[in-house]
Amino acid sequence: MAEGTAYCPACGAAQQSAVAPVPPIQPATAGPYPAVFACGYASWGNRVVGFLIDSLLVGVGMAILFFVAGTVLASMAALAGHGAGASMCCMFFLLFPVATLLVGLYNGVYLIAQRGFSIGQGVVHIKVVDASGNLLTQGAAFLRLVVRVGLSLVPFLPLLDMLWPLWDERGQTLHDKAVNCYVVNNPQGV
Amino acid sequence: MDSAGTRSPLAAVVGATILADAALARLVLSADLDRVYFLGKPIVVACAFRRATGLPCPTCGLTRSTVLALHGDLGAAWGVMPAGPVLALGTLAIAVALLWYAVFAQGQRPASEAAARCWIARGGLAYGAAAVVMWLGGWTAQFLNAWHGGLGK
Repeated sequence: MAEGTAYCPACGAAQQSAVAPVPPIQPATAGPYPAVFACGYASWGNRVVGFLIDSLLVGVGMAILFFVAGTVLASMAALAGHGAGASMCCMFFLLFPVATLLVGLYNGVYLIAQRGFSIGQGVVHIKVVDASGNLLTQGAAFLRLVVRVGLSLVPFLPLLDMLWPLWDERGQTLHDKAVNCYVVNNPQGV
Repeated sequence: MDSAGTRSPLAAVVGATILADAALARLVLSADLDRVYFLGKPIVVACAFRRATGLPCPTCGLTRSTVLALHGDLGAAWGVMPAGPVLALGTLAIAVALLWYAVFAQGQRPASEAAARCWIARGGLAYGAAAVVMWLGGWTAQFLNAWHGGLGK
């Protein structure tokens, strides 16, 4: 790195001014693009692709939980004399948040606190940072996950959460707003 | 998210996709007070939780209610599960708002675009709050009704 060059703390890209000293980090309270996020907010499309990749992992977790819980419920129904054939739709209502929480403890808390991005976010080169451009603490990442899981308990609210960056000035979802974090481009993948 | 002052078809594409999904669901699904039909054939499933306990799960009736609401039978939808019409109409409203934003507000003066974003966000929050209240309230009422022996649909 050249001496005196300012770099984006989120992605490492060189700032426009090559000779100015690194400005003091300001909370992102004014303007659509805080100065610390030179690489820009992640596009909605990239966020959705990253989410879908992460959802595949959640799907695997759900399949395992569904097998276990389905066996238990089917046994209960058989013992009660109802036989098989009942729908497990209500199980999805519970299993999706539970699987999201369990998988998210590694993918959405540990990885994001350690390196800034989950597996899916890493594929599309985006990163989660706080208002200062630093990585989230594990506590903040966990709270973000809990809010996301809470929203997923209510039908249709995950859709609202996912759509929110389309009209949000800073491209935040509701679970981003809960901990005042941002998802930014991470072209260097670090 | 697109930066202010620029036009992007993204919001319009998402809004149109939601409306197309709703139209497709209305085309292939129908419902009465008892069950949902796919292309006229009844979907014969029973809730495992309800069969095991006799009590409704939090999603019991939601599909019927949403499909009834998509067909415009709001009274019946409300009777089956109050959250259904709220969720269906709220989602359609968001889709229309996204189309409106993409066509009329995006790329306009920054103040106008910011105001449009703000109104959509307020509408989204109102929709979210209404969805939570109606869903929990409706399920609680069904649950208590079943608990006291008057198991409904």
